Amino acid sequence: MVSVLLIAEHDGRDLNPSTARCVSCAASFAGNAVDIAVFAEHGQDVAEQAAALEGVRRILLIDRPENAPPLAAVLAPQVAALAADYSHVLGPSTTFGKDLMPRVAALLGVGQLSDIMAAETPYRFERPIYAGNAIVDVEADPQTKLVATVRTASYPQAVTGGSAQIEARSLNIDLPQHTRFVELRTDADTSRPDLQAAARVVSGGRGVGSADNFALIYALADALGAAVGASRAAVDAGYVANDLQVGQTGKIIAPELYVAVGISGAIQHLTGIKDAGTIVAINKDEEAPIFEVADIGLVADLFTAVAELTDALKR
Amino acid sequence: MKLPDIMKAKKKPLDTVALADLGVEAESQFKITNTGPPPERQKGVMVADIAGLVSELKKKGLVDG
Ligand SMILES: Cc1cc2nc3c(=O)[nH]c(=O)nc-3n(C[C@H](O)[C@H](O)[C@H](O)COP(=O)(O)OP(=O)(O)OC[C@H]3O[C@@H](n4cnc5c(N)ncnc54)[C@H](O)[C@@H]3O)c2cc1C
Repeated sequence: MVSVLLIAEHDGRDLNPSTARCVSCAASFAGNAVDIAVFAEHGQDVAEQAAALEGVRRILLIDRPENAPPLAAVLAPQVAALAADYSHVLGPSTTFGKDLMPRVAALLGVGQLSDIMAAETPYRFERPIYAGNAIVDVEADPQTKLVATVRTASYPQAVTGGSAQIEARSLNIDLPQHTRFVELRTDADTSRPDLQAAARVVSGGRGVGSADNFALIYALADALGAAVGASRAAVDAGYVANDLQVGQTGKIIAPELYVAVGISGAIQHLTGIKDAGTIVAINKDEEAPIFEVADIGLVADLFTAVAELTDALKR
Repeated sequence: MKLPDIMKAKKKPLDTVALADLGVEAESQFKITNTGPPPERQKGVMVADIAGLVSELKKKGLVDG
């Protein structure tokens, strides 16, 4: 019997949209045999958000103080213990899932299938290789438990309206003591939407020219209610922090709207935005490769165009 | 790396161990059955100015109006 245990990603308050995307993937091959595990401290709110996702059978809430920070080393043995009742264990291919799922696979003594982008059957999948430049069909052994990450950009969020039951679970296992959460230090701006989850993203590239000039990008992002991203060149030049990088070695995202400003459109950057709904490009070079993939292109100097667009949107 | 070092390295003992002796199973649980190109994105429209850009965004329902 195919049944999926899906590990919820959340920040203790809100369920991350990556979970709703994973539900779409799981439901595509497992019908309604999809349970979500919420590891948290005081996780009732998060569990209720998960329970509202259409297509979910049950929420398992594992509520204990050690589960407050999402530490892969602490969560993995708990996931491995819960996995006994399931044929599939899924997590998102976000930083959270990429951290956690390999440990789960190792504890279960199986391999991990990464970045599911389509499921033909419960044991036949498509996944990207070479940074998305080729797609392979992979067949997994049905006799072996399948631990996998879901390429969240390939799936829409499951809709809400469901009402799965929430079951509190206590797992009688010793948690590792060798790793503990100390402190989170971040200069990330938490007042803005999260890049990996945002429905709209405005990214700046080398063309923006300086960290100060990025104010233009932030202003446009605010007018659109968008998160801010960047090309690697902009990150390497120190215009913005490297967690804003979009692309092969940054974040792979699928917002409904992606605005690329002063970005040439290198293949490694395009890898990160292939599944965006609408791509808008603003670049002064009409030959820039970004225009080959843009749904809407504007050849213009960004310093005038971005300010003008921001004004037009505010009106 | 210099050539003499490479020559010296060639003299190092090289043990061959049979996989069976290691007591591990080399079978993969995964099989690749096909490799193909990814779907391509199509080229879209070029607009002449900000007004054109905003009107395209409106057409797609991405901004109000
Ligand atoms: C292994 C590997 C991994 C990589 N991973 C990533 C990745 O994850 N993400 C990523 O982004 N890159 C990645 N890269 C780097 C990538 O190859 C490019 O170098 C990078 O994306 C270029 O960034 P850019 O478009 O901002 O800069 P450029 O290529 O320099 O482009 C700048 C653009 O700005 C335009 N411009 C300049 N001034 C203006 C102006 N005033 N108005 C309008 N337009 C202007 C120019 O016409 C140009 O098109 C990777 C490379 C390698 C080798």
